[in-house]
Amino acid sequence: MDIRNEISRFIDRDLVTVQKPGRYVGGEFNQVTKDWDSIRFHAALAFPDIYDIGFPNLGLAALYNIINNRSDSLAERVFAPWFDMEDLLRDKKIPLFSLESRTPISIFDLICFTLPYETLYTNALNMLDLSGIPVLTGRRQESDPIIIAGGHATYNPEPMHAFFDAFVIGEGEIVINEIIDCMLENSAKSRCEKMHELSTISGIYVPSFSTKNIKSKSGNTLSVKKRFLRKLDQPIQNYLVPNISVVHDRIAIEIMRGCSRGCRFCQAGMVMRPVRELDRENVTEAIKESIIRTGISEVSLLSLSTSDHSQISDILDDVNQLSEDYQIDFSLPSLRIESFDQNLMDRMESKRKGNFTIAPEAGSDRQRASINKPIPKQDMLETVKEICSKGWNNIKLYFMIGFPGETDQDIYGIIDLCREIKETGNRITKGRLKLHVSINTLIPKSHTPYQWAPVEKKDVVDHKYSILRDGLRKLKIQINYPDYDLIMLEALLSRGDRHISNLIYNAWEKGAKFDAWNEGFARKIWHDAINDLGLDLDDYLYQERDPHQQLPWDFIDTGIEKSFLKSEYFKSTTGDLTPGCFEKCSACGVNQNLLIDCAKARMGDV
Amino acid sequence: MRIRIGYKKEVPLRFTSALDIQKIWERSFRRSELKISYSQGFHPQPKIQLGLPLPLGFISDDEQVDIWLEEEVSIQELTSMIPPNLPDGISITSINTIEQDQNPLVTTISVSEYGVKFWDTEFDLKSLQSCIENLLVQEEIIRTKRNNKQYNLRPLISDLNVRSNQVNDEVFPLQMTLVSKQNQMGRADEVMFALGYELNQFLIKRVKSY
Repeated sequence: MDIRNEISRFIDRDLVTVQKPGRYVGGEFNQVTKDWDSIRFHAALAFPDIYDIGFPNLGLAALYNIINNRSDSLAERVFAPWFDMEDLLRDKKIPLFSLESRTPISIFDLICFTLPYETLYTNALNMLDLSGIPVLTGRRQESDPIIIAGGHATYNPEPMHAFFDAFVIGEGEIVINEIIDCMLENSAKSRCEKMHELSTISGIYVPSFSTKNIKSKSGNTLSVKKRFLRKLDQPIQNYLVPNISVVHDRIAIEIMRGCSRGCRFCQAGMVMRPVRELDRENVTEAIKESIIRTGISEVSLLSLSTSDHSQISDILDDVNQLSEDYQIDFSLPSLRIESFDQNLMDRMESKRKGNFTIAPEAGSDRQRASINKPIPKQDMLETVKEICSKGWNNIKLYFMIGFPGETDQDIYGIIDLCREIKETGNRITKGRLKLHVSINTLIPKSHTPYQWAPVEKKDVVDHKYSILRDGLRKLKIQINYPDYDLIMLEALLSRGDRHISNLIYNAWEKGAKFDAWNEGFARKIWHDAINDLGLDLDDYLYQERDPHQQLPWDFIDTGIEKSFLKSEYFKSTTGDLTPGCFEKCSACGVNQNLLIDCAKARMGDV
Repeated sequence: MRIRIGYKKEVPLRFTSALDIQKIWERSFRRSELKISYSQGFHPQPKIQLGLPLPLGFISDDEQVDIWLEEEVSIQELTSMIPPNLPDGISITSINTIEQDQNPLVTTISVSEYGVKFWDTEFDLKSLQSCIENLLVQEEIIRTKRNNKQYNLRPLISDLNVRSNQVNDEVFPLQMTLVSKQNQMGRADEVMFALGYELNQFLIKRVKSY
């Protein structure tokens, strides 16, 4: 029987037995379906988490549009099957298939994985295995598709080097057409030759052709420079509209990419430089068009720091007008206290009052200076006063612990700040303020000033958690924090080198998957895998890295100079501040290395 | 203006729940640039009322929904505006204006007819016939609800029979008529389980409700 018939027979009969079968059938409004046989190039866009989580991913939506706009190519989607579906697929011997034409993933020409975070890694391996594609690049045959990956996590590609034929470093929108053109031009060539051709494209890293382990005096022989859009594209307006419930079921308009603030722990803020704003007219046009083309009534304006957009108050005026015209709700995640002024608050007056999120990150003015997020306590309390008097009474606070040099005093500082915020808010709301506190532990990520810093050890973190738990319980404030083992895993996966591929493979073989889920994360499997390989955790996690040594991700060029990161790391110990990009340029290197005028790029003037 | 739409729910939307169908109507109307009325109050909701919910996995020839519109629009306009904005799996069979004070759909229905198609067409008609007879002679067919409460399915079955003349892929040879009230809902899949079938052996279509 033809494999497609077998799959549709499976969908007809067996799919009804799994949870939320609508995850596996596609058919959304605005979905693109093309005639397989009359199209030359077939790309599968793979997101290694379930449909509900992956569906709203903006990167995936952008690639879907770009590829499907080509007359010679098609893009179809595939997500990770949930546990019950995986069992059923394996039991019935059905390979993983795409949502649109229900084609086995293994007969596509190209598979593009989106990897926004590291805890999706084992799922990517599992999806390859469910497709009948060898998980290791070295074992793939001529008939297997080319497997590539992009997304935030791939700024350190080495831990996954054994599983992907190529990596896209930077923003995929700008490279995907070059990849497809290259593959079409070389379609008659062997797999190995194709990969070689791909490696000549700027921003593409092909691990099997890299000679980067040969060190010269000047450092690496290989350097892969990230690709980025010099000016943001007009946002997607014909989003797919899901037929079942998904997370973030709303129109998301990216109004700005990059962040000018320079918080020393933030990878996104570093690697996404320079800042590029979408013009007010384009934002408004995009919102209006997408409401009509999707019918979705919830709109979210996305960026790393929405209130920093230079035209934000005008944009909010437009948005307020639109929400009257079309009965829509809008949300603005990621507001910065520094730029969320009276002006903006007035414009959000009419908004439905959900949670208001503030991210002080640290408890004391001193510690906030050290991470370069110097929001004075007084300003925070003022903001709390204002938002409470405007009708918000749910406030969410985000903190981080585990910064280098942090003392118990700093931890008590978090409790004190929470108390003051609670008291201030309660005075205005007459005791109705609800406060939720979320605590994260610093994972010193690649390409940030903290990349040399050690990860805090378990006993210390647990000690700090217990101070916070006890202190906040007395104040009747809800708190949540992640399990230490998960932090350790994320740190290993994000700071690793090529050896970590062995760890990922070993853990996956033992059954690791859905590491980002409580249902999936299996600490025993990971501990066993670490022991099997005899990994030295001190080396990977707990020792400060030598600033003179090569880091596994040094060959990835984000535009930022390593010397800038080093001086930022040093300044974190002294508490010296670095101003935001548009206050005063601190010569991070982006303008020279990426040949761009940051001030002009911000306004789309390139 | 209140309108009542009759529609078919087909295979592409087989796995979309009643709640999600409600959202599909809301979004399809917004795409058609038709303004739905909203309820008053702190959290205004679009005024859309579905008929009796169709269980996940079923298809239907006879679904209905009531929608309240802000402005008067002719039936002719509605008939041309809405269909291009519907996802695959919903097709409209009728649109009528109805009085504002008409009873809600759920209260107008008391019985539904279902057809069942078997994925394996090579089954023994005789033994199915005798299974049905055995089931119907019972006074009590005790089934368990999702909330673990037990109930008697037998009085909810008004009719259950098999059409012997046309057993092929396209027809739904097993037919049943079940009580279909808001608080007393005979489920066709439960009847199939009582007959000894499993979920992956059949497809159920609601043929008619009245």
